[in-house]
Amino acid sequence: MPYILIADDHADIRRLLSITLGKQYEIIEADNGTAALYAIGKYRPVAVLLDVMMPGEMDGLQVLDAIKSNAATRNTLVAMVTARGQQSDREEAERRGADAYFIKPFSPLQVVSWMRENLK
Amino acid sequence: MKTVAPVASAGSDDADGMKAQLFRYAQDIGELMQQHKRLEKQHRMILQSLGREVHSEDLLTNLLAQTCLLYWVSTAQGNLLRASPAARATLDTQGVTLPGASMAQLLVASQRPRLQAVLARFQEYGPHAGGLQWRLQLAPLPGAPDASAYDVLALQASHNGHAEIYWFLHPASDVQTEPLQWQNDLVSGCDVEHGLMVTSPYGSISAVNSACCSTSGYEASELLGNNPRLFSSGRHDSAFYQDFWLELLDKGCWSGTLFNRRKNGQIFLEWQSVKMIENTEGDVVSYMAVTVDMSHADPASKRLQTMAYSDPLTGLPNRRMLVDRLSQLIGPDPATSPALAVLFIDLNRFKPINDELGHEVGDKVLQEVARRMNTTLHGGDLLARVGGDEFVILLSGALRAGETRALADALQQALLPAMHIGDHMLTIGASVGCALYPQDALNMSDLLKHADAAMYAAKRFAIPYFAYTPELQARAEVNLEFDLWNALERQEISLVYQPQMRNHGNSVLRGCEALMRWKHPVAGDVEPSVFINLAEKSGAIVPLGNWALVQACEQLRQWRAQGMEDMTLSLNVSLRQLRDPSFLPLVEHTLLANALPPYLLEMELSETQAVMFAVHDTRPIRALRQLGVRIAIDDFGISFSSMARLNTLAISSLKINAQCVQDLTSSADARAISNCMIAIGQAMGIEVIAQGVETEAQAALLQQQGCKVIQGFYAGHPVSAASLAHMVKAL
Repeated sequence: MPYILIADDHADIRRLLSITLGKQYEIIEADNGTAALYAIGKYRPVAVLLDVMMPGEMDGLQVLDAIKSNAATRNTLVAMVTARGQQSDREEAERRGADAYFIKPFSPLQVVSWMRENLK
Repeated sequence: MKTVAPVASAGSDDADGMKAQLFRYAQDIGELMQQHKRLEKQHRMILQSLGREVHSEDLLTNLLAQTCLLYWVSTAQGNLLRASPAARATLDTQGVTLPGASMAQLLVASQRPRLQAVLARFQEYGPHAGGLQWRLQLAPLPGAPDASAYDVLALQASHNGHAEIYWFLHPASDVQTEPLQWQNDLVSGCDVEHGLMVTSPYGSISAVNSACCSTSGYEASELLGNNPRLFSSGRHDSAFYQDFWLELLDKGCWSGTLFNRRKNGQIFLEWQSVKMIENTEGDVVSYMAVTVDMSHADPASKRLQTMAYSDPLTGLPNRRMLVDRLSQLIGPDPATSPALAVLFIDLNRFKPINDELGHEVGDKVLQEVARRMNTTLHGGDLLARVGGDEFVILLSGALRAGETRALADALQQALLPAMHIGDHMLTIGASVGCALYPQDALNMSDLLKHADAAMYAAKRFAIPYFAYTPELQARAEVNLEFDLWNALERQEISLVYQPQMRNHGNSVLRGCEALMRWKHPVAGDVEPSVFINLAEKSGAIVPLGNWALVQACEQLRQWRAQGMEDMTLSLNVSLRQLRDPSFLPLVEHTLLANALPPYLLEMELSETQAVMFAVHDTRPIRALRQLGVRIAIDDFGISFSSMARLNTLAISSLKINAQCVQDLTSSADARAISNCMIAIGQAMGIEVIAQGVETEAQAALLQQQGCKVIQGFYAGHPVSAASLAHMVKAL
């Protein structure tokens, strides 16, 4: 099964997303940006669900930059999952290469169908 | 499940967020359950339409049983099973016990053979036979004088795999009522959620219920006497209706889905089951239809709508249609299936249009693209829109060599002219990939996949067309950026020379521009703009550009030795080269080593790069000028730079950009701009060269405006050094 990385500092959100996606994908979890990057290097997930605001050295957008600027990971799908619902936030993420933007509380159905459509 | 980092527990601040999130899950689950219900319902209907219903769900009999007071149900052999309460009362008075009593006992003796004939007929036609209308005489009760007459509508349905016959009854009063009138009354009074309709044998509507009116949007009075053709959506061809009638007349019933039109013009999907009703003489007396509006059955209706096979935006066939057609054409044996070619087309530069100018503009572009591509096709070819900006062309039958290539060229040509959409003038390109059946793939999914991969390769190498080869995978893995560094060593880079002609009608060569070409061992000829960009980004442009300088100067020396003494040599130079401290000494040395007068060498800088120099540091340019080398501004007129600023570079030539030249004959603006550039050049004593001149008309216009040198296909294609020398001799 392909790997999916869920990077969010809220354990409950990670758990919910794991349950939501765990049947079709192998789930990896990370609770901060640095761990997320480490996991991406190690497992090469096909998609990353990335919280924007995470504690530690790197926030979600910085992780996004790192993924999209590296030729080896550039094609990894990245969906931002965030409580920041401003249009400008979304545009910023899209400008930096995010493939999708889910605002918390997100619809699990939307997440699942986005995954399904983009990971054919 | 793997956890990469130790997990901290969520703080209480997040409790509200979590509640909201859980609530969202609950909402989605609710929605899923709704969907599940709708799907279940639809599944039942589909099973029914296929004649595979598990329960006795024959819709027509079910609906009629909800309204008709008097009916009983028998086995196919005529043994009574159950009855409506009112009918049960009647049967009780007859002393009949349910279940098990034979219907024959109820009838007057003279009608029993007829009953046997009716039962035999139902058995012969099976559960989906048409219905039967009959006037039936019940045997008189002991002591009663007369038999009682009933009008009967008999319909067969199946229950748990067994055939059952529903006998709907209506007492035939002394006053002779038309049996048909009773049928009509029965149907029009049927206040159920699905539409019911009766038509005469000649097709005029004789009864409708309220649901039929609300679905179609017509009043009952508008429908009665009319033909059901009123509902025709125009989406089905005559063959469809022909099959409909053939099946209805042959089997006595038809069921399936079709598109109908409401009074307001809206087209909707409807499931219909139509039964032919005959009398005991075998004459058709009516048709009875039940209709189910499928348009509300979302989300399944999305799936059903795609059955329409066409893309609503462009009107082209959609992916489903393509897949259907392919699966019809690709048989189990390639030897008996026709040869096929699939062209996968992906638009270039569409995404920025859609993103920046909005979907409305994007949609119009797609419609125009579809229209233009359609004009390149022949009768039997299928053009489908399969994704946002993705199209597929399917060619079938014997293909001539080069036919797909020619079609791809025609497509590109069709897309070439700029599109005027609103206030915008837009240009769109396309990358085309092609795969053939059975050569490249033996099944549909591989065929599409390979065409897609070929398209992707075309896009990647910035070439318009790519045909699938098994080595494509190898090409896909090529790392051009990496290979570019070794390209010189492997002698994969070469120079070609494009002539620059004096533009005064007589063929006189001014000089030529040296251009780099790269032949990659796996990827083949790499589009110059692709590898130059890569080289600029990675820094490989410095060794490549320096090599080109040395190579071209040696060539110029040879040409001069052959007598072409006034020939100039133009060479693209990059910002990185100019900033490299070893560049100026290299130029100096190369000119000396080849005994070249410096004014024969012209370094071309793009306008954007030139502007950066003008702002920051003009020293490298001035140093070249001091050597005597000429400086030209390439692609002038693209980035609207300030002429005054460029002037600080002491440039010697301007090259009018090819786009402006191409628009000359069609656009007054372009003519004004070129006129202006030429005038500036003249005023400042700068030579003006027009790039990308392709036609005589363009050359003539430029000559009128005073442009003295032209470069482009009209003046000559880029050629090898030897060919250029031949060309000069032939002049």
